[in-house]
Amino acid sequence: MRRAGRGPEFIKLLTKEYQWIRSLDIEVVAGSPIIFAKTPNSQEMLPLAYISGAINRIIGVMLAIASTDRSVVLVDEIENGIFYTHQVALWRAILASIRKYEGQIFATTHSNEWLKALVQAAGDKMDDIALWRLERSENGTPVIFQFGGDTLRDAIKHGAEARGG
Amino acid sequence: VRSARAERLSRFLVCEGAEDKSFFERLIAVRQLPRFYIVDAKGNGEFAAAVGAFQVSRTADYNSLREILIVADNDETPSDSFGNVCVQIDRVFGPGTAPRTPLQKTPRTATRAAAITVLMVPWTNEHGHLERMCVEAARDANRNIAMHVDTFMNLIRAEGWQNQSRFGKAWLRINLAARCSRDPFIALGRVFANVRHNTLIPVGHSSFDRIADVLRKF
Repeated sequence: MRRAGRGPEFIKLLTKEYQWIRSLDIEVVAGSPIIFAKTPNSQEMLPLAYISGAINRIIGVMLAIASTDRSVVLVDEIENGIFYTHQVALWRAILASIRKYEGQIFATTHSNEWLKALVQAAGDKMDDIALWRLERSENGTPVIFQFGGDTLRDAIKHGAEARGG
Repeated sequence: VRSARAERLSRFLVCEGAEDKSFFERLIAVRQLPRFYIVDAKGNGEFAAAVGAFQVSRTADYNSLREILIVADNDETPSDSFGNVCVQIDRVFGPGTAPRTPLQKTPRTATRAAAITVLMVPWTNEHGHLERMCVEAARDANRNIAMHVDTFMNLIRAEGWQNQSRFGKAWLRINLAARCSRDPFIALGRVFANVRHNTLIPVGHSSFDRIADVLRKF
């Protein structure tokens, strides 16, 4: 990314939601690349995983989106390991990256909270999001139901169970 | 709702509030009208959200629908109230979907299996709401008390309010307070939902015939 000149804009996207991250760098430790971060409370850069496992995961997703234009990123159970108060911020950061790099993310979740956070993070740009729900029909065959962002927002607003069941 | 779900219905009725929902459930049960899934939109600006919620949370049921009936109050501005419903219909189902008049059924399309109809309460172009529609039934259920309520309304010069909606709500509230010894503050929804209170506003009254006839045709 740095070679492609995308480093500064990526840091800008990230720190917009996570202002306590001042800078990021990659160091090779014992032969393995590790992301280091500079925070206001530390004189030296620390391995990001030491600061927060969740932010480490988030940055992994965002790096995948930003690594190339029009990337397609798949994330299984995106909610894992991330505290609920960070959900909206994470979705905002991801949506900002997606819009910036014209990418697409397919994220699976079992969490209604994450769907609510996604709707909140999307703001008035409901065309940017959609819900695809995989379930079994009455005869046992798998089916996918697709809902646009507006419908998802309406359902969430009305307290519906968006995960089906 | 559970028994309705088990047999999967083809009709969906969305109304403004919990009181309307209780009323329609009672009306349909007593008059043996066609059965609907009935959903309370929680406000006249929430019809779109209620339809979306049903679509998302009960997708298989939604996909089986052949009829969608939206029931809204006219209040003091029937044309504005109808327009408000139409805006929401167009938002959910696409521009140009909304019917031009109440009770006009929009045709089904290749992408939408359900026809859409709007029923304005108490009736097309009549001011008021569910409470206004209930006044005559409550009056005939106890004409003596109704006479005293009329006297009281005259004494407070309610005819000068120039507001049919306010008048109807006030009349019905006073009437129910006088007649319901267990709870003068009884919610309108409980009048229909609780068998103990059903006689306060009998849904077999002729004032509900027009509404029942609409439902019967579905």
